[in-house]
Amino acid sequence: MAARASALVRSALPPLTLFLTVAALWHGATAILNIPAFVLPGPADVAREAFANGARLVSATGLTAVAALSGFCASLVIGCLIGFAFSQWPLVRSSCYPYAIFLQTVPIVAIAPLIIIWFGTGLQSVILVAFIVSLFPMITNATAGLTTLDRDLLALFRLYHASRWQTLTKLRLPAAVPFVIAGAKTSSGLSVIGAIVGEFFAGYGAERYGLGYLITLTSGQLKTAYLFSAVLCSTALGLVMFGAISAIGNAVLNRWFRHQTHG
Amino acid sequence: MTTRRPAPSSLRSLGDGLTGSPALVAEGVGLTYAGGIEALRNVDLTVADGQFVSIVGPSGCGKSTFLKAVAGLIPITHGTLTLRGDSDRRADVAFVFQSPTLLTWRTVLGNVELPNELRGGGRSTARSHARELLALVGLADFADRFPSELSGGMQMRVSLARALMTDPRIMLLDEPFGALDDLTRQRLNEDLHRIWLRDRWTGLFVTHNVSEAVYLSDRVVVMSSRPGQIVADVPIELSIPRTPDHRSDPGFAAYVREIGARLREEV
Repeated sequence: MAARASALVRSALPPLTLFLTVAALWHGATAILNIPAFVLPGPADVAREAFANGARLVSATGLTAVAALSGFCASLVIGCLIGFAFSQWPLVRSSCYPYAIFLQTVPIVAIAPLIIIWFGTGLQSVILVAFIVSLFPMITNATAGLTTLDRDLLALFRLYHASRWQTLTKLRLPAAVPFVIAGAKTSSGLSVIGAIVGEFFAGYGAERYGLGYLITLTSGQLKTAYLFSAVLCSTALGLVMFGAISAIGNAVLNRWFRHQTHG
Repeated sequence: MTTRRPAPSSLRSLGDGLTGSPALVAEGVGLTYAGGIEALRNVDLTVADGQFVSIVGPSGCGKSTFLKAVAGLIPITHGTLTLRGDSDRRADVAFVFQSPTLLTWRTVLGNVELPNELRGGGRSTARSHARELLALVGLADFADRFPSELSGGMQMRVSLARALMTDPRIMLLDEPFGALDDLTRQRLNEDLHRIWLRDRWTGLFVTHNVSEAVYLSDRVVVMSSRPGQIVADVPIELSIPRTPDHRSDPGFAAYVREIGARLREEV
């Protein structure tokens, strides 16, 4: 236990030191160079604003988290289904794959106005943007997982005359899980970005709002310190999402998918 | 599906396997891949029921390809392959691959039960049969572990137990112990030999380790480099059962030297 705690301290110490150093330099620079707070607020200003608007930041972060998580879950489910269709029917894959790449290449900024026209502003549109942004890695990873297989394992299943259904449920689907986990890690971070970008365009209005809306609002009013605290909340949310999904994924991998040693 | 056969040891005393119908007859077997690479040419091999035959040869000579062709995993392009009097008799065949090829998400017991599941056999008898086989390979206490918790040698034992699950009459083993250290390999050789003595299935064992081949086999055949052809067929007339003492027997050493020399001509 003590060893574990000291390992934690050892891994946390360098980034923490860096953080404090940067904060100190930042504070020093704003004080010495006399930079106006609306251009670059010092860390103390940011902390003060964050505390003053704590309740609003928390509710905004919560709302963005709901949108990001919903978008992520949708892309996890739909991405796996599309990957499954791609792996089972090559014709579906060859005809649809170019359009799947479209998801990856289209600037979300360009289609956001369309989304608002079709779905209006509000949570549903924000979730949709988060979903679109995080879908592609899920599709590619699920497809790869379902089509990349150990040849000897496939031979083994053939040798015992396994049906297509048996090969799918007992081999292909479980073997795809590590790939899906890798895709989910990428998607989890993207879904937070998607939710915030979505809120830039399709935020909810003055009563309930997420971090993206708060960022546009505070930048418009030159409340730069408040803006900084909203950005920090966005970063924290991304980290928490990624960390949570990674932790769940790694637990699954450790339990069921540790590589065999061949020696 | 999993009922035990009558003890087969009475079926064959040493050497008389040649009188029954052979387990495997390969006649003029050739295999050329679509790309034009000729892997096997004119392979003739007859293996009597219950015989244990090793195939040695330089790497890439096609010995693994031959084994996979026997299993029906790769179609041959020339000649005929007959298993137990039937050209398409895969039901009696089991295959042990170079790597353990275990499903990492299943327990050891779950892996051993897999062949039975795929063939739709009964569950309850399968479970006790799988446990028996795990005991046979010395892993009775590891049934509920995951493969990742086992050493390479133990994983190979699981792979062996899995192959035995369907009570095969022909065991095809494709360099199963190639990745193991010498001591572990010798231990597994001894266990494999013991299991063969118990069940007397027909064994076809691919290896590039001559000493291992001599230890386990009734016959050792030497395959040439690609395209693979059989260039020597050496009966091993050492007493059975083989024991670790055989390894220091002068006769054993003579076989290893003879086959090793024959093999070097092919490399």
